[in-house]
Amino acid sequence: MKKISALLAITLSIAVLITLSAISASAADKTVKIGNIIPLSGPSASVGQQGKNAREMAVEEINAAGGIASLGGAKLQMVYADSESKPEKGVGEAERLINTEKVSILTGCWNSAVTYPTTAVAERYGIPFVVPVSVADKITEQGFKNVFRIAAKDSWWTRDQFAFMKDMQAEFNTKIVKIAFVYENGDWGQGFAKQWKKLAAEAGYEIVLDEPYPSTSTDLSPIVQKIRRSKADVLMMVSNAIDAILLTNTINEYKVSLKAIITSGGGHADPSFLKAAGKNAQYLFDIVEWETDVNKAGAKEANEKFKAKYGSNLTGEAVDAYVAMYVIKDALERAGSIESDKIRAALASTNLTSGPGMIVGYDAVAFDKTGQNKHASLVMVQVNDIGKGLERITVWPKNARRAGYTPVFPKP
Amino acid sequence: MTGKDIAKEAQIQVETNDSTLLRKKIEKLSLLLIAGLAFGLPLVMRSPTYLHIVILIYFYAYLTTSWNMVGGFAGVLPMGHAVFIGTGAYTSTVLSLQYGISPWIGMIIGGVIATFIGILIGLPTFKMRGAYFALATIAFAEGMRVMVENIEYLGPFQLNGPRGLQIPPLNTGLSNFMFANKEPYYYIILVMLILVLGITWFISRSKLGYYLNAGGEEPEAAMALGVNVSRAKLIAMAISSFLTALAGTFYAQFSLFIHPKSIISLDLSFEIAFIALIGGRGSIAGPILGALLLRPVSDFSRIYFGDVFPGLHLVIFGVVLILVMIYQPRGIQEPLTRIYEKIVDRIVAKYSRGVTA
Repeated sequence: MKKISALLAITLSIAVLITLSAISASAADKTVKIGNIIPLSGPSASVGQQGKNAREMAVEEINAAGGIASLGGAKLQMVYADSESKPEKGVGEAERLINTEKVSILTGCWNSAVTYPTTAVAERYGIPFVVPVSVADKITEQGFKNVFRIAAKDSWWTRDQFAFMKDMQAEFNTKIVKIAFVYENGDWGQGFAKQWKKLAAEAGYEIVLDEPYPSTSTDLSPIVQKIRRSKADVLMMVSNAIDAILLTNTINEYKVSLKAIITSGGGHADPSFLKAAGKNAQYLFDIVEWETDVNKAGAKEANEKFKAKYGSNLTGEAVDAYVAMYVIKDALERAGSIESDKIRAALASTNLTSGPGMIVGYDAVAFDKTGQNKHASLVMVQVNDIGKGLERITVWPKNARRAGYTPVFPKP
Repeated sequence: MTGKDIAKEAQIQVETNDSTLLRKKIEKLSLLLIAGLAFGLPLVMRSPTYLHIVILIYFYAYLTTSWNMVGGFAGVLPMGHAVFIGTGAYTSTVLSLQYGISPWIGMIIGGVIATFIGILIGLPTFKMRGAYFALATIAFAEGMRVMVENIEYLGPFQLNGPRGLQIPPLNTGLSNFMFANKEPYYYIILVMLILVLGITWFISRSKLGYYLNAGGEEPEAAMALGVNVSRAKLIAMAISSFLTALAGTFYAQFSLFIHPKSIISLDLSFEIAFIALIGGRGSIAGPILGALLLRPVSDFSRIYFGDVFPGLHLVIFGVVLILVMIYQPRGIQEPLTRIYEKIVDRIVAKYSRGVTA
């Protein structure tokens, strides 16, 4: 009983404290607040940080160029929230950003598992939610009116990976028969694998390995043994950064012979991957939305600026985050208001084709009625060293291939 | 003994009776005051964000109190309670999504299933001592998570593997256990918390409670006295897993999205154990004090530092954990109880002096 009473005394004081802090709400000034829910700690912290840097750079540029003219030069103000890659944290943060920070727009969340429930919160409050890069198809298939996605959805990624395989076989006259699938066992990996299996069956490939693995593993050698035993021609992977490094290095250690490794962005596109895997990553093919050698006005300058500022190249995902800010700026400019439904209407009628933000590989950003950017497309790159150290070289589609480069296939 | 002595004795007796009565009165008053405050809080605190944080504090206090029946009173350290949270959440969600059964009914069914799982886990593991028991429960929980992550359909039930289940936020209402604002959730979890505290209080002074305590401290001595220690532990486990599963349903309905990584994760199991260790295992107030300290530390440090120094909130959380473990290994309930006692002593002393003078 005494213990109960002790607890009561404490509850009282804490309740008072919390109430006090709740009362001191923030005052609004002449800015447009944008809430960003991204993984700043936990397993995806590295990509989260990339996304944050890209957003910062875009917002600095927009604010330096005079902010939102139709709102009297209002500046964009970024509010970041850490999801730790956990859905319940993302949901809690969305509630906080909407209710306490009073943001006008939300962006995020990179992890599809976080984006999925978090967009539901935004939908409930009617706050527009711009998703730069969570690829799970279902995000734009929930019937939500406030969700807009810049990146291609995962069914498009797998579609292009298979189209690439077909083209490579024709170009180099090498046959691919057996393929192995190795993917992280989360939402993202399973989403890819489901599509792969369907496409492989349609194209008549033999699936010799179908292996999901937990991305938190510290030893993946059993998986690599399975890859070796499967005698696959092509290995297709979906990995986060840490496991991408681990798998690539272990595959080399075990001297697994493959004609090609085709990866799916994410961890393989993370700058830390090339640093840590080094030579082991040579000849790998990766699918991305963007590459530094993309032939677009301003792309090179933007990448150099980013590299000088943050010490790494822009990734496809960072570019999506960067473009997202310009899409938001464009929508705010046309909405001339920070009311949610006006911003939403402006976003829905987006047709952004030029301007400083448009450094993406495709020509326009415009959303279909589910909120998906219908112009989003992808490129394949190969990791190779052509005299300037390992770099990512665009190889597919063929008309986007870097001039003078011949892809190395099959892997020597 | 002279008559004078007897009279003096009687005088002291009356005085002590008076002061115990007074103590009881103070306790009752402060209990009522806290209950009143807790029920009135949403009237003052209008911000859904803070309400969200408080709801999660209660949620964790509830979980830890349920855990405490085994982890505190029975003296073992179960580290896999997320299994029961997952069982509750998945049962009610699958039943409501696929068969339209109200989550309230699913909540009870989930509780019953969790009870069976709890007994199944308890039967072989309660024979183990110390770290082995903790490790065995971790293994069960992780095994369960891996299984659910790899199961698309369990018979006719769609679990969706790692992609989890989303509850469409459409039909709000009491019978659907879904509300557009936070207040109903607040009151539901508050009532659940009060009930579970009541059950704990009741058990702690029942025969079962004494058996558990005896078995936890000196199992050999207790068995020599004829106490069926493992049976008592099993009963505690059954009650604990049932109650924990109810919170699983609450979580599912509150967050409207469940997936194995969030609801059957070791993180969740550990967090429950941390709260209990920080608050004080085996005491009624411990879990609540632990949740009141740790949850705000974790939430507010993430909110204020998560953006500036990524990951700093986890460091702060760890530091708090280490400091409390070094300086208050029996949890923060101990010093706080002492302070409370002192205050009551002073009041009682003042009051009785006032009466006699």
